[in-house]
Amino acid sequence: MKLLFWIAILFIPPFTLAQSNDQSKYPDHVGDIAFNPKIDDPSFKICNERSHYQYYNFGNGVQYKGEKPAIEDHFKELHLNKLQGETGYITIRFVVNCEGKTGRFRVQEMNTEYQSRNFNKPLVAQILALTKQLNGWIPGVDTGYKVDYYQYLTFKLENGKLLEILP
Amino acid sequence: MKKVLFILLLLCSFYTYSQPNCNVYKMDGNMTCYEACKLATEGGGAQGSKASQEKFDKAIAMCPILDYAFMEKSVPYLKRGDFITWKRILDQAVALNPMAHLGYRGWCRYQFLRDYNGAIRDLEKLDSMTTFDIGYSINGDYQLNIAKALCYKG
Repeated sequence: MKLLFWIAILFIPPFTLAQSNDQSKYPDHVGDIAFNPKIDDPSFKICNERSHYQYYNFGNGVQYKGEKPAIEDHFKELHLNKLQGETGYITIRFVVNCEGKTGRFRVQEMNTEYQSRNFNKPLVAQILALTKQLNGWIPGVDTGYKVDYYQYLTFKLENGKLLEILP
Repeated sequence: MKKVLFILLLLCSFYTYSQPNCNVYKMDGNMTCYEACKLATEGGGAQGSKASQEKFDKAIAMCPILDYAFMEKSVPYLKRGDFITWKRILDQAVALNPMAHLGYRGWCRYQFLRDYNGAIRDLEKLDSMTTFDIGYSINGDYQLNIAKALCYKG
């Protein structure tokens, strides 16, 4: 009985602490993407789950071989029919790991008034597929070590026509 | 002459972006907002971290008119591509203090989303509220009238 009592005492404080941390409505960092077995590729590995680098932390803008023009060229393959009303922004956020590979893609669709909306599904699927095909990402480097980081691409659309890729 | 130019440039950057003067609340006798303002402006967690976001929430709970805390809380969402959340939070800062935040919101609409119409709306509104210089973009790249011209061009 005494042994049980001491075990209970030992376990209560950390459990309470964990509970209070879990109650926060925020992840460790805004925009963190946790692994979701339903949609994420299990073969994609993040080198350090605790790293929270963002693409802008390295001061180099978008780190891609050939830079922004190479990304824009890649999306010239996008064959969009004129889709009346398909206007707004599609943002795809993902992780570039320390090997330059990508995974954990998440999509946000928004109208021009910054409200959530749903675009034509084949259109979103096409943009997502092309984003997944991008293979020139350069890993982040911090104090000589290659690190993972979060990247996003935003597609500005007007009636189904791709006007801009940002950032 | 060089020194004068340097000082002017330095002042310019301070004018572009600065933390609020918390003593304003103290002078008004609003000690709760003074403490909230001190909390919001002190260090405590990297930008976008749980600790930082919770700090701004606490400051807002203490002083719901603290526009600075709303604005700072919104920034990581913008920089990380969650524009819906960014706008929802920043709009509260703009509603509380349009003179301080319309220029920022307008510039970010242009810089991050090429939302020319939205940026023009914000910058024109700011222009209509002031009789002096409407200021610079948050990154110091452009005077906001130039940014507005770029939006009209776009």
